[in-house]
Amino acid sequence: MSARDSIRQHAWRAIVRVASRMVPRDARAEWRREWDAELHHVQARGGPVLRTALGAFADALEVGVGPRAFADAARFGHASLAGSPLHVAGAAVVLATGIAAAGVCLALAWHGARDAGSTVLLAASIPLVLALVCSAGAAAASLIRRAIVRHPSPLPCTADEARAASAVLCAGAGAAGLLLAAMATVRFPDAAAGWSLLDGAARVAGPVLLSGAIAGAAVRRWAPPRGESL
Amino acid sequence: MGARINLTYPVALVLAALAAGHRYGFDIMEATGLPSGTVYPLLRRLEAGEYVEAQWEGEEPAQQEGRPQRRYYAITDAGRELLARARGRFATVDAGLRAAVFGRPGEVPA
Repeated sequence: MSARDSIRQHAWRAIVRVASRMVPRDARAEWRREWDAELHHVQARGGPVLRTALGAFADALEVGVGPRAFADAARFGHASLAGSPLHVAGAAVVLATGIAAAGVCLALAWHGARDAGSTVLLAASIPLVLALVCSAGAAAASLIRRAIVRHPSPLPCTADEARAASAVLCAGAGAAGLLLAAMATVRFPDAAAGWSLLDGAARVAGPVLLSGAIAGAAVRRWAPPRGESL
Repeated sequence: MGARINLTYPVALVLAALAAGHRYGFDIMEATGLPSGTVYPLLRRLEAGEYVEAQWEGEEPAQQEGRPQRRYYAITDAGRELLARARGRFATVDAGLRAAVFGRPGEVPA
């Protein structure tokens, strides 16, 4: 194998490895085995191996999420709201409040790091932000899980649907948090001097993503295995 | 039968390729001209709907050719029925397009 082929092989293997993270763990080995075999063949035939490898992302999404994820999430969300509106609303409020508070803390800390008081605020805000985001994510995941167990959906519900619903819930709560943080920058112009709303949103995106990841990990940890009915 | 599937043109192409004896992803890509990001997800959906079935080839042929084992796909009876429906649907579309583009139904440029 030439050096160029070797580099290509490393590249497509890396692409497949990254894409495989989207595939459920129980199906990942077989999924990678098929892609490795296909791309081995493409390379042997002198075909467009890297372009073909990029299709692994679409395939991994198909296997990991499926085309009906949003429809399932909407269906499950509707059923959950009908069955346990307080639990679902509580989870959303907790997550949105945590994200919004984290966003406001970050906004204030970043803005005023020129004097001693704001430096202290900055130092204090980092663990505060982490604690808020972690607790909000964990609380939301816990509430969602409890809501599912105590108030089973009138429609058939699988763990996949629960995950999809929690992802949609986190995204909605994150959007609410962004809105609140943006409103805070408008409401307190002194604190937000020199800021654009876009800048504020960009700074809040980190905690939003982090909390979503934590909530997702928590749901994955507590939910039953993929495909199993709750 | 499993999950329902939308009868799109790419679905019809993939089923036709399978019915013609193309058995694995890259082979189907070459036959249909569809990109990998379309072919493989379609194969998953068709497999979930039981329109195709998949199985790993034996070790021996792969070892003889010095390559990894492939996953081969084959069209099922349900897949053949779907393909027949697709042929009916897209034949109508095809005739309509020919009439619009070339003036007379069925007329094809040389």
